[in-house]
Amino acid sequence: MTREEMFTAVKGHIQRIVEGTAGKTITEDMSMTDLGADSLEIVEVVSRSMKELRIRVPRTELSSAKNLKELLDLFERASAAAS
Amino acid sequence: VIDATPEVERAFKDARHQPLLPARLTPGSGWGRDRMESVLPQRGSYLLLDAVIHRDERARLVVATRHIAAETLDGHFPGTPLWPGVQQVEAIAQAGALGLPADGSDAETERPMLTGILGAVFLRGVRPGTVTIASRWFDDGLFFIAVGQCLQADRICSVAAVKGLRGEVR
Repeated sequence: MTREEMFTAVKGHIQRIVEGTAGKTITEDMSMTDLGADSLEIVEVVSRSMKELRIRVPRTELSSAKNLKELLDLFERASAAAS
Repeated sequence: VIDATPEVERAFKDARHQPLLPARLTPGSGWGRDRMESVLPQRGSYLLLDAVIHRDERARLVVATRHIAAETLDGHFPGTPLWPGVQQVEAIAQAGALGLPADGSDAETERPMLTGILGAVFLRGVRPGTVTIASRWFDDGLFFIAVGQCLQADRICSVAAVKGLRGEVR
């Protein structure tokens, strides 16, 4: 699975869950807080993304990600470890 | 029920009419407060369950009991003591969380945490005495959803569907 595919999945869940983000340009340097997500919406986006991508990152590690780039870094590492 | 899968919707509807209780209790599945405290963060009077009397990991079902003393309901309501509905919902959430896989190592587990109430109905008042709380959980990624009941004398008093963050071994 490529990073681009992972980013597409994450962006899709952001746009479905976080109000006002549909059609908005989302880049890796943004955080979900920048996009208006509350704390539960952030966990919901991450949870659904991991389910779709069939990867698992512990909650304790996820909390260290400050923006989408760092989240995707964690996803990439989890995907590589699983394969 | 808001924001729920069809499976949870079905379970919630069924739970209004059919007790979740198993045909027979699993021998040796009882947990006391110490064991419950190794999974749940609540302590003292906020741990709303006295004991787990059935825990089936495959069926994802937990049955627990709670004795409600009349004096703890003073004022709710004068002359007609009833266990508050929000505490029934909390008890259902706690029982559901006890069904999640856990290794029981107190220091290594991120505790489960309630994040929302998806639905609740209160069908009969819960009076002082013993209450049975039955709760079945469903997987939702980092979350779990518990659908459960409070019963008294085998009659369904309330049904709730709640959502929470799962606990996690670090």
